[in-house]
Amino acid sequence: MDVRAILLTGIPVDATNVSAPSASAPETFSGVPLSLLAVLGRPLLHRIADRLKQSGVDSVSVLNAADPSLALIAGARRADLNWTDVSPEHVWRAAEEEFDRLVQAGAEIVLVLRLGAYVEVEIDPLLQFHLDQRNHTTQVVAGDGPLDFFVLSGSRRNDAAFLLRSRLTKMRVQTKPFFTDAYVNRLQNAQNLRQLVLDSFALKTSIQPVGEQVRPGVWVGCGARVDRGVRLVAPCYVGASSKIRAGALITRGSSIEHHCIIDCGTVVESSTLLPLSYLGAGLDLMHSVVGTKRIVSVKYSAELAVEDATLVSAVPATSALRTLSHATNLLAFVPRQMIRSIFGQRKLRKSHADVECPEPTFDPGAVARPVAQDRQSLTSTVVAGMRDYGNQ
Amino acid sequence: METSRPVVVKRMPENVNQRESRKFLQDVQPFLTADRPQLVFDLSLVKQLDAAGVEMLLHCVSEVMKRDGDLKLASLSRQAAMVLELTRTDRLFEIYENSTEAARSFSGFLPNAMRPAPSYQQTVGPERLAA
Repeated sequence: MDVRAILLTGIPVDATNVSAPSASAPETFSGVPLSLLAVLGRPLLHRIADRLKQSGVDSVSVLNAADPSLALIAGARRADLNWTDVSPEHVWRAAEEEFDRLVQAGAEIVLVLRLGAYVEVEIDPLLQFHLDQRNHTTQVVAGDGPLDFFVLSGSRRNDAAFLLRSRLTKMRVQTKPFFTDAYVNRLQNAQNLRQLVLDSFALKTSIQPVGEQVRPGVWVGCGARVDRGVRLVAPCYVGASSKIRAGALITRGSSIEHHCIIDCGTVVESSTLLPLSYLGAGLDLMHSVVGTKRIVSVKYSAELAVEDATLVSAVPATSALRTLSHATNLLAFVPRQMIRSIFGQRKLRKSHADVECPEPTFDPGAVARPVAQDRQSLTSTVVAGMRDYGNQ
Repeated sequence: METSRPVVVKRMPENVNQRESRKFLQDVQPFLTADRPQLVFDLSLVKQLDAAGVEMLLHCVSEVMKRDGDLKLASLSRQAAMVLELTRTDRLFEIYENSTEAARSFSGFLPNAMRPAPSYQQTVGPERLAA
């Protein structure tokens, strides 16, 4: 059977609102859909697509309505996915056209997922249910409510068009839904993203960290540089090409994604650093998600845009820019230190002679007494006394 | 232990960057240099607080301590609380839910001065709020 899939990302949650997702919109982090963010080394979209392909889905098409110029979104593209960037206004029309194209190419069943939620539904039982019930359209329902996950029969074009034109809110013919007890994470906010990471460490999901398990519960990605003085406390993950500098501590289910830099002495506790993030020296990051110069605190339920590059900043997206940035920093280091020493507020104080210090003419030998003369000889009485009072 | 010395409450601006920090410091300088100053900074409006702002707070508390006074923080916005926690400076200040509580704390014994943490700081123990 020819089964194909359409994945929709970056679509605003509110079906009536077709404007581009804002920085604080649900299901996004700084305008990037949470489903396109890397979790333990690989974007969730890739994980979902790979899972579909392993279940026998022939091809996966991605329709992205988020801003494609963002570095994190560009990093989620992959050659084997039929990726199309569309505007939020035209995404549903594009989905309809994609459905037609897939059917003309021979698809008998088309899966439509809006990401959205991360789901690990078994595809074989779902398809079997769809065929057994002779449904035109089957919706997947989890324990906490329906999901934007539909199975459409290729021969029922009108049903598919109705569903897509209603933005996955209405079906032309109401059919029996497929109930699943599989793992579902709604990915509404940063807290859900953190929960997904923790659930993955706890083996509640099928997500495997990408990298080598250097110690039980500690994964380090390819090309990551971890200083000797760094403490990695399981469970934690350090992504590919990340740098963790001396004295840092990564603990309590923290996830450092690829190309991140954590400066000296910083503590990262129960937090996620999204790809290409820099975290400054001597900081204490707890229960937060950091990325694109933003911190979202799970503890305070607040988002903070950080303009101070000494606290949080972004690492350049391309390797050429990164090399240029490092070279510039290196060249600017010495002049910067010189300028600081000349014009900075912190100047070296003149040392003053301590009035209580002995004069230079003072001879220590004149007051020295031979220590051996004061010592008592170790008689049995003295030793007994030492034993009695030794612990004091 | 009643005190007759005044408690000065200053509201910090919305954006505490280098420029605003300098301006704010100029404003509070006379109070910092008074004898045994008692200051409360209200951070309810703060939306942006960078390293220069944190440094300014540390400078203020250091100046106040030199003169045997005290500086307390009140009505922290979530953003300010996040930055203070991030930079590990939250443990250097006494933090109160509002300015009235902070001002009152100058005239009471320490056990009476302690108040429950703000609603967003429920996870932080009361001992954490004391310097």
